[in-house]
Amino acid sequence: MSKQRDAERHTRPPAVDDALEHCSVIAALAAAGIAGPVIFAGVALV
Amino acid sequence: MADPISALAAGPSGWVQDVNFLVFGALMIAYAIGLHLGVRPTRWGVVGLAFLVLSGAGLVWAGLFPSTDATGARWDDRVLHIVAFPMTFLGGRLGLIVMSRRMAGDPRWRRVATYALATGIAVLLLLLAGAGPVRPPGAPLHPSWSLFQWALLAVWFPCTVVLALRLLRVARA
Repeated sequence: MSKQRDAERHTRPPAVDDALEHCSVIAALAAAGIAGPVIFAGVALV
Repeated sequence: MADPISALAAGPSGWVQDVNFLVFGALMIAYAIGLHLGVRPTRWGVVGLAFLVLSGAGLVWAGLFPSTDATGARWDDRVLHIVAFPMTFLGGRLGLIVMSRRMAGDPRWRRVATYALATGIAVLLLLLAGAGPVRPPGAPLHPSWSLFQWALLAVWFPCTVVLALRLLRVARA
């Protein structure tokens, strides 16, 4: 199963890899936008 | 909520609030970059990013230059700290208004563009309304300064979270 997944990864076009990586980066940056206000308000109110 | 947010940096555990400002500022800069990457680019789109980064930098600034001195005592007139307030609020809201125009031109963001614009304008109006009668020490409504700050956050924070959730959906689409 893992060999199959490796094979899929190796046959995936580089542009798809780039797009997935780009989406992961944006998702991480979006998480910062959620965590920021929550942490700030939490610490300030406690 | 009885004290202004900057006053939380006073006392022996005041460093926690300084770190809170630094962390929040860094996260808001990251979020601004995320919004810039997640909304369809426009010719002047980088202007919105610049204002939003300025807002995050204002928060970092507030952490680097607290309203307290080395003994932990708080002062209301520490100029370096006061600068952080307009950086954070004016920068952030102008950034939100500019970014909302980019959102309006992107079908993935159109539904939240009006909310972003309304939030930016609402906070700006609150800032203008509070500049004279609330902010200056000795002003008639100055005792409500801390409540006023929390009111600004109560308008700002939900919009930030809503747009961040939208950004998350855009990233996963």
